Amino acid sequence: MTKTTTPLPRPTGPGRGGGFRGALAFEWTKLWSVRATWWNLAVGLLLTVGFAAMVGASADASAKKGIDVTMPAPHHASQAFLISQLTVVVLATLALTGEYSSGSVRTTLQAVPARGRMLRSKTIVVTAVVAVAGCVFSVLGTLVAAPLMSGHGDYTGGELLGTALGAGVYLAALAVMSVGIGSLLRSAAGTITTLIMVLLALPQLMGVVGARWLETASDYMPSVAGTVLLTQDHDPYGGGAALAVVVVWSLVCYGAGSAVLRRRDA
Amino acid sequence: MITSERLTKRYGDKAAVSDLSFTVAPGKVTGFLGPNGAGKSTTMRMAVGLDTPTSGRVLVGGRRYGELRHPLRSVGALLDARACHPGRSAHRHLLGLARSNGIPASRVGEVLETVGLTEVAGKRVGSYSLGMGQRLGIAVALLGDPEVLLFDEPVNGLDPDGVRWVRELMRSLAGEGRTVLVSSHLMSEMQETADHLLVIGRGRILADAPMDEVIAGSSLTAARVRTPEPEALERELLRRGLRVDRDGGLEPGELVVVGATLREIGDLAFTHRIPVHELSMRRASLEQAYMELTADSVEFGSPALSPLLDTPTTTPKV
Repeated sequence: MTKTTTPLPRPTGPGRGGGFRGALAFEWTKLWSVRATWWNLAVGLLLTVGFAAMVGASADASAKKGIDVTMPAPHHASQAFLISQLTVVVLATLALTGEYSSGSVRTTLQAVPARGRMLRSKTIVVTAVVAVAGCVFSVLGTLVAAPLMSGHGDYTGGELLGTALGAGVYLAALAVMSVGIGSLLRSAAGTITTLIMVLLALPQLMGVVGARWLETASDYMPSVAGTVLLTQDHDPYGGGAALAVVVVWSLVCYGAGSAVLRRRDA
Repeated sequence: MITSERLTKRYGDKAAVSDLSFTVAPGKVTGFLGPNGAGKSTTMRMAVGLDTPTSGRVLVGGRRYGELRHPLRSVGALLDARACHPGRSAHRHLLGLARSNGIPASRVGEVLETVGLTEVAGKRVGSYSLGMGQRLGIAVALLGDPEVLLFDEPVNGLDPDGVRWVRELMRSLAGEGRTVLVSSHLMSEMQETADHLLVIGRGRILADAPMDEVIAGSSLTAARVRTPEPEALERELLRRGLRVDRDGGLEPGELVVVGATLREIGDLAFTHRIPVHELSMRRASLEQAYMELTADSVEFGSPALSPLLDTPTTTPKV
């Protein structure tokens, strides 16, 4: 290792760069410079495509036994998101909680002291990446599942596009929720556990109890709205209402995370 | 320039920093000293906006940290060497920071070169040794070529060569007219690096003075006089209100005088026609001066080991 004491060069140029654009570029660089991002996207892709293939093949098997399984392939294949949504949750959670577990949040906030700006730029970068991933995963899942359904999964271009967009929107909402809860709890384990509860466990439990109002409430859990977005079926409500549900969930989580981040010492 | 105005930070009932007012001037290295828990790190964290003061404020270059558009170009700070994701390379870590503050990407290579990490710049930071992590932290501080630099324990984990390198770096940064505030527990190192000292204990200022003044203020900075008429000289010195010590392992005819210059003692002896065979100054070390200053404010004190270790300067006579 060389030890130099070369004098520092002249001061860098005048007030260019930085600000919100600088913060976005910073978050982009950080997101892609850790392996977790690549791993989660790779695993998410494999899970989506793999499960899509499985449900596609099982639909064909059921059809041979005389069970009517006809359903557009994009809708059928999007059952895979039940599992692969968790990789998105992990990706977005780690983008935030990784800053706390490694201590890099202190460096980050020295570079971008405006905390709202820091959280906004991180959320935008993570959400954009996840939304694109959701669209791509959905289309690839359909393309794999459709041939395996042998004629029971005919679909239109509109259905393909609708499901792809729905996947993008739903996963983007999950990313915002993850960043918000991550900022609130500052721990990956706590955040991921909370989201698994909200996405998978709670909607089931709420149905099991048998109380009428709980069943109604469970309709407004984000994963139920997500299903509407992915399959465009109008049960229990339409696409617009589903969008509103995931947006409200995202805003509440983000608002809580943001409020705490602004107040707390880093 | 760093200006702290009645800075206070409380955690519940406990004040980590209370009513701290000071100015850190440019062009010199200011040593920031104090026992563990004295509030040094808290003060530095408030200076860069990580912690919010309960009351008062701290300004860097006349502004609050949060108001700076390109904070890294104004203030560089090494607060915690391990403030980087272990899976990220040093190069990417610095590149991201450069982008956040509109610093040219070419600067990343320059600071990596300055701290001697060029060859390992592509390696994951998690694989770095403590000393390499420390060098990366220094690279982050230097990235924006800032006017104000804060270093919390910069030589932690560095080898002797690295320690000397940090000392020279601090000196040269101050020599370029920058404001340099360095905290350290290594007194001998600080004695060689700092021009000015800011000593705090239990969140309050104990000393804010040039290094020489702090050392001169120590009771262990004293004149040693050897005379065939110690009683006569002692009488005259005491009459002047000076502190005189005749015990503590001194030879017969030896006196230790606190608070007077050699010239004053020499002149006094001459006036009273007392012969003097030896007259010399014994300068306290910074460590001794520091120990005296902070004696009452050590929060997590250690029990005294043995009287032998307490006063390293006076060699006991057998």
